[in-house]
Amino acid sequence: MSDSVSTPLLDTIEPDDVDVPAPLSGRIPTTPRTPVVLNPGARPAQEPAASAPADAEAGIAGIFRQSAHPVALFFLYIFRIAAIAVYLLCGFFTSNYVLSTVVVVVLLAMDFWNTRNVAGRTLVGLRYWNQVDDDGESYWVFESRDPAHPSNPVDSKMFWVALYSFPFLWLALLIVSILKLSASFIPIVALALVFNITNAVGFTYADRDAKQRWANQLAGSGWGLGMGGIGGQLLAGAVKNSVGRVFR
Amino acid sequence: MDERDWDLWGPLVLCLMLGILLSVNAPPSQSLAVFTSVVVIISLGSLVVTVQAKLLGGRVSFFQGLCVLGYCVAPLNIAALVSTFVHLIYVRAPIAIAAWAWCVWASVNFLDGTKIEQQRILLAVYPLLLFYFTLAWMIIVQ
Repeated sequence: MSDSVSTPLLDTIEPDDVDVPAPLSGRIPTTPRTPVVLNPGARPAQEPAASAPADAEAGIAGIFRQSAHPVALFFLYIFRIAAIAVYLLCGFFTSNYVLSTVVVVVLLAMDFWNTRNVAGRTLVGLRYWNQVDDDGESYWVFESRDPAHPSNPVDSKMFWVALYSFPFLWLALLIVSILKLSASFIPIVALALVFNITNAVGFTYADRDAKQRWANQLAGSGWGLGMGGIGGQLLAGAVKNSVGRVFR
Repeated sequence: MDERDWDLWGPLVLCLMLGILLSVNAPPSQSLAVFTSVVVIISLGSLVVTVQAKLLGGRVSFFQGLCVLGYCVAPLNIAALVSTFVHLIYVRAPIAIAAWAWCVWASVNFLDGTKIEQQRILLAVYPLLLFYFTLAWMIIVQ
């Protein structure tokens, strides 16, 4: 180790995993390659305005007015609410349970796709997916928006509320259906839980990974780009191993 | 389709279609049960076969296995479609058996690519045979 205080200790640290696949570091975007949906000009102007009238404007209209992507927010909630509503109310409108099951499943699928690809990307700037490398090993890749363009706080809060509250609702419905209704509905509720929990867990990991990565890049920028790269590789490797063990 | 890219939307659609086709012809009191059991059989069946292929040392990712096994249900969809319209057992049975053979052939090709050792390949193929045969049987007897 180093004797003098003036020499930074980190010069002697080497990465643990030398076989971390390179594409992971190549995929971390330093320039935001998100589509034109992001308009950096509009957001900084909105943020001071969002904090002040936030106390005055309660209610749904207020939320939509403060959001930078009201359409995305609207669709996120509408699909989730529609799936639960159809599941609960199908008995009143049709006696054909297969039809209502299919409608619920289709709504759940649309909600899953929308949350993962549209809402996550536009509202909080996070993406995640699974990739398989040559050995047949699957690993998860997380991407995030450059923190120089932070997301709208109202958007962010509503997104996380939607993401975490619906799994609990479906869990409650699962308990109800186990206790009361026939077993035919359990697979649908199970499917809903799988979809919602997958999104919740995926975005939580993506968010955590993004915070770690950007915090490390900020800290590492003082010691040159090389450290950031190695730190990023360390973190990417750590996240890959830990998440890989969870998801096999 | 590039083998390494997986998606579960195709298998979901195929599974739902098979469930709908089989439940349309079932007696109304049983139609929901038939639909649910088809969905459950396909999902649990692919899960079990994939896990077994992995345990036998196959180099396949979990989701990749689910994806391919789900797509391989497609010939059975065709057989179910035919069975919806034709009620003669002499037409349904051979078509269902042919579809079953096609499914098994397609998924065995996939298993070959996962580099399981030769002695163990039969251990991996046997549950596949059972899994698809269960579905083919449901098509024949509806």
